[in-house]
Amino acid sequence: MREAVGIDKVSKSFFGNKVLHDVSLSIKYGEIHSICGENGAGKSTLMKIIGGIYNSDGGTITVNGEEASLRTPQEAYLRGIGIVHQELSLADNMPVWHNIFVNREITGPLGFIKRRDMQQRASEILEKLDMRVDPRAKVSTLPFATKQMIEIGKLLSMDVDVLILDEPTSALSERESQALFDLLLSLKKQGKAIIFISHKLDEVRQISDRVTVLRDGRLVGTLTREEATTDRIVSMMVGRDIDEFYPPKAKRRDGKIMLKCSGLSRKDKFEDISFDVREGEILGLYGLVGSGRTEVALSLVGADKIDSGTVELDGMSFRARSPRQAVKSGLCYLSEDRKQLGLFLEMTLEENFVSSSLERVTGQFGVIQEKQVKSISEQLMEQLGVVPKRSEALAASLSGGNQQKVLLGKWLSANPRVLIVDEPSRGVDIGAKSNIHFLLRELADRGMAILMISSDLPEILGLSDRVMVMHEGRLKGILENTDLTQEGIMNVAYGEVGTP
Amino acid sequence: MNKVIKAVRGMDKQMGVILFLLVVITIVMALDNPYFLTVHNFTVMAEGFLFEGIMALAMTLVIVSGGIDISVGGVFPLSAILMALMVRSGYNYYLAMLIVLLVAAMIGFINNELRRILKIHPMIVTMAMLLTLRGLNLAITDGRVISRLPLGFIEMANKRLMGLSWPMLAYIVLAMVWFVLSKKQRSFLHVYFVGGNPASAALSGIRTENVYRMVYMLSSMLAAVAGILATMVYNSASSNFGQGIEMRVITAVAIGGASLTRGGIGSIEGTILGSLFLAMIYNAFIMSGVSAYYQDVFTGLMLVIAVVLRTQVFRKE
Ligand SMILES: Nc1ncnc2c1ncn2[C@@H]1O[C@H](COP(=O)(O)OP(=O)(O)OP(=O)(O)O)[C@@H](O)[C@H]1O
Ligand SMILES: [Mg+2]
Repeated sequence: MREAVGIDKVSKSFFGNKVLHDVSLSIKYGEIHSICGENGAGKSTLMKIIGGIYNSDGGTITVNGEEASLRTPQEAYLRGIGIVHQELSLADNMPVWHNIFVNREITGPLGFIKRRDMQQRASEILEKLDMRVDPRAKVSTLPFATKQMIEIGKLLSMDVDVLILDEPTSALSERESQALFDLLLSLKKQGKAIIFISHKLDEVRQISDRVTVLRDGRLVGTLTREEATTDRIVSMMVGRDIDEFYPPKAKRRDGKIMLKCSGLSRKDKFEDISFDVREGEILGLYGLVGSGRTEVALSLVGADKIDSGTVELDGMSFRARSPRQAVKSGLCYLSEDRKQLGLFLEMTLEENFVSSSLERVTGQFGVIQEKQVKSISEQLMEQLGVVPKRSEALAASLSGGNQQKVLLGKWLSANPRVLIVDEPSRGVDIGAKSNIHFLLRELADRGMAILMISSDLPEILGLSDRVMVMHEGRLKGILENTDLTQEGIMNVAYGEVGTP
Repeated sequence: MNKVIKAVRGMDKQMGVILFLLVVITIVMALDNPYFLTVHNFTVMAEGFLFEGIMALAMTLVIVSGGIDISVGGVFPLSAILMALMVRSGYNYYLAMLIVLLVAAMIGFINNELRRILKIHPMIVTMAMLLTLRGLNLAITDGRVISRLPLGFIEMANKRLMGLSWPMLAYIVLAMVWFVLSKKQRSFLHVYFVGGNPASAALSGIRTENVYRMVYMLSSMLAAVAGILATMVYNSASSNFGQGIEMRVITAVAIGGASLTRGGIGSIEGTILGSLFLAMIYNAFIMSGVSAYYQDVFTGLMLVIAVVLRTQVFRKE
């Protein structure tokens, strides 16, 4: 097979901190090549160098055998390289079709765009991805996973030969991921080169022809499809063996009911949702994209309206008017969209950690107590394994998975009574994921009531005490998590087994 | 009819409010004074706000890009002064206009370069430019009015086409062109991407600096167009022209629904309505004999209301 991209001894430093050390790698046409590595291993950085977003400090990159200068995204595109970034990069204020075709508009004379043509092509592409979205819809109105799919649609519309997908599935559920994989496989058959990054090793093994592992910015090795067992990948990633296992289930199931919802409805989003969460319990909430799971959470914390129904928090009738008020009452929500709704990217880690619990670190006359901030941050970074462990680093400079850990830390420091987490381990590597799971269980054991939204079925099964399933805005059932299987949950989700 | 209902539903809510207020004011004023509804009054009303209206078109783009351009308050009188001086010393009128436009383009260019190189907020950069230009205007004119322009120029300036004055004609043409471009032209549409999410616009390969350069240059150039028209209307020029005009322009844009706090939100049709609204209000002030001093009070009030509407009431997710 012909080489598409040749990476030769590429290095990169940020402010004297070397994050890629002489990495060499060859990507061929007609293969799906996965890159694995822990959070902060340098995967995204390497992709951004190929994509023309960062310039490497040393080494060369060849495209189709020729040395290529890739200094801007436009140059990379002209060389036939397209990329879906780990962090979404859509303009929320613009319609779907234009986001797909931005800067590659179909234009007539004087740069006048051909809107109809682009809308038409956009809906064809979205159909290929099995998405039912009006291409004229404004992006801000769409759920997170849909935005992710649009981002993928944008890549497809580029018609490039080298496709890079940096954690495209972290926010997708089974079904969308499968649709994506079918498509990637058919693109591979057409001879395209595909680079795929994911922390879900099952997916990696399912679709890759080769797997390359990075550790601390160094190339550890490349495995063929046959060699790439989960154990092998993991031990190359972390330099030792780790087992993937989940913490034990709840110690007590008879705690006080902390959050109780009855008949919650919001027009066009969800209808008649009733459930409760007890102290010390983790209630898993599973649903496909568009099932209304995030919308329920947003309504509960006052970011959206509720049309009807009642909510009780710790036995008292409760209706949050704003997320701020919800936090004050002890109900916190960890958003799946860390960039838009979660982190303050231009602030330091410690500022992020205490941003939701300022009362705790404010002394007399409203002065922030630096010492306390430091100690809280250090503790959280230790607990969550944030790398680099520098509390004065800017959040924006962290790798995606590490940003997720900081976001979780922010809510932990607020110490809520009820915690709603939306995709808590999105984009987090295997080791850190297990960390987060144990941490959530520990919080529950200390008396917190936790509602965990996730599209990761193993995570739902491994961590929840009960599982609540939603589909198209309706509650399909709440199941006790004993002898539950992935198929069992899927069946309920698709409405084949109707448990009330 | 269905189409109309759909259009109204899909319309930006803030624009809806403005439209509604426009109708209410018209009815109230018309009941109070039948003269209000005459063609003549409408012309008077519009003429009073045409310079602002023209400048607001380009200001909309600047604001959508996430910036602001205060310096138009200096470019406007400077252009009028340069035009008057050149015409008086016998330049060909059209050549003079071209030179004024080029000077303005240069000022816009410098605004943007300062913003880019010094990495300071456009508010500060353009405010400094405004002060500089004000000083320059005074220096050039020595504080005096430049009048006694050649008869030929005055004749040309007073010509009418289809019964429309030059400023009226210019506004109608520019508003239409701007409206169409803002909906259809690639570079104009990229302003929305750059304003909405600069980082991701760059990732998509948009050369964001080109976009910023375009909006600041256009803003200066439309201020120059307004300045040239002012020379034609008043047959003179002075450094006193257009005191506080930049604030009226920005207010018109804000009333039209553009967000001053966040880029990516705003529209030309909104700005046109906003300009119409302010024009009508100022006219209503005059007709009902309220002291002109209150106009500024009102402008300030409207600016706050517009921003509150945008950020609190009709907040977009
Ligand atoms: N713009 C930046 N400024 C400073 N440091 C950076 C920047 N971008 C990345 N880094 C650092 O480079 C290292 C590699 O980051 P990178 O984003 O490539 O990791 P990754 O392998 O993609 O991790 P993840 O799985 O969490 O996405 C990290 O230590 C990160 O903190
Ligand atoms: Mg990454």
